[in-house]
Amino acid sequence: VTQPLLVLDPDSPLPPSAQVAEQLRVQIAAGRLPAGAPLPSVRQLARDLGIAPNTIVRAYGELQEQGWVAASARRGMTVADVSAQARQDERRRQVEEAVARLVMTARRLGVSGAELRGELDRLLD
Amino acid sequence: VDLLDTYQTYELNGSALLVYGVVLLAVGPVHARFARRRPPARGVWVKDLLMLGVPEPVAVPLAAQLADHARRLYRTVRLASAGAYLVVGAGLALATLLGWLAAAGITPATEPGRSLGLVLLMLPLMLGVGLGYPLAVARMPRSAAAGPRYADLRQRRVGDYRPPWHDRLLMAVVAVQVGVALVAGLAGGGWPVALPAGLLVLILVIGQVLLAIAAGVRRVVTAPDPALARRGDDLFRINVVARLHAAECLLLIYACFAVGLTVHSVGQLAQAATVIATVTTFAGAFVLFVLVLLAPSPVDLRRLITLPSG
Repeated sequence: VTQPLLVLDPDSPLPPSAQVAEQLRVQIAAGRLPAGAPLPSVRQLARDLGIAPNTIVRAYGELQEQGWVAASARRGMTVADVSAQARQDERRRQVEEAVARLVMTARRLGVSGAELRGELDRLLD
Repeated sequence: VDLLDTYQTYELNGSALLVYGVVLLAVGPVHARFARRRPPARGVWVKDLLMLGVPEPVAVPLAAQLADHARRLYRTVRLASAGAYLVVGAGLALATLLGWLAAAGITPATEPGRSLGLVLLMLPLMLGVGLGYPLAVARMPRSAAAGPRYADLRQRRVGDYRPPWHDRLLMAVVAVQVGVALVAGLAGGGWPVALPAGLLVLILVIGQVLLAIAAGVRRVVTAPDPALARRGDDLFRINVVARLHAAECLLLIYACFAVGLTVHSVGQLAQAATVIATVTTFAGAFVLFVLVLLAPSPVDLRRLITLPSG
């Protein structure tokens, strides 16, 4: 079983709390973190990533508001029971954003649509 | 026998432990000088990392990082053990000066006194390993150039680094010893019989708390691929947990013998109960000793550590 990791990118324009929330959303949407799976404590996450505990509290709070995680007194923070449709929507949103970034970069470089499709086909094969 | 009695006197009044603390502090400069002449032992780390599926180009710099962490860990563990010896020694010296130990019947001539001496000798070593690791990690630098920071998406537990049945067996052994001490105490031994058994429980609790801390301290090993860095970090952590677990088991063996000795000193006990106590004590000690021998090896790591990267 692959144990997912959360990696902080110091060069990312996103603040650490947004990076944490985004990566957790992706892992849940991809099904790598199943419903009910316990998440690490705020202290452990903050220590591992070398960031303030408040940053993790903010990320968990945001995810809780959006319904991706649930807090319980007994089990701490766990993955919420997200519907398959919501997970599918999130995956589509993530892919659309990534493709939009790719297309923008390709346009800046003057890469044609055919060239881009060819490169994508080569990578996917 | 006279020499042993004299030694136990010095141990119980804290002098021997204070001397051990000072000696451990003095070893520092000698070891530093010795270490400068010897290259760090990276070969073993490289071998273990390769066994864990880490590619050689990554394993070599990772092993250098682990060897450096091990050097820092050794220094901190030595200082923490020295501190524990000095604190426990000073506490005993104070208790002796105030007459608390004599009032409680803990002297080199009594069984609780002899038992306590053995346990007190080993306790600072366990505390040294258990407290030295989080202290060393707190001071370890995390090079941003070596790789990004990463975190597990689940709570790390001691069970990730050793089989869970180890804990259950330890608890069963302690429960048997406490039961034996309880019977001996009710059979006429009184509260002094409960002292080594109480120590046994205290050692187990301290050991488990230190192990939980060791499992939870932050990730320090970094590499361009965080999944490979995590394998290196787990390899380092499992070695610390194994050492701490071995120290806990050895200390429990001493405390088991202490329970046995104290139970035997109770004259009112029926012969059968004494035999049962002896058998359970030695069985418990043997089981614990086997546990020490079974401390996870790099081969076990393949099973315990999550191998796929990602």
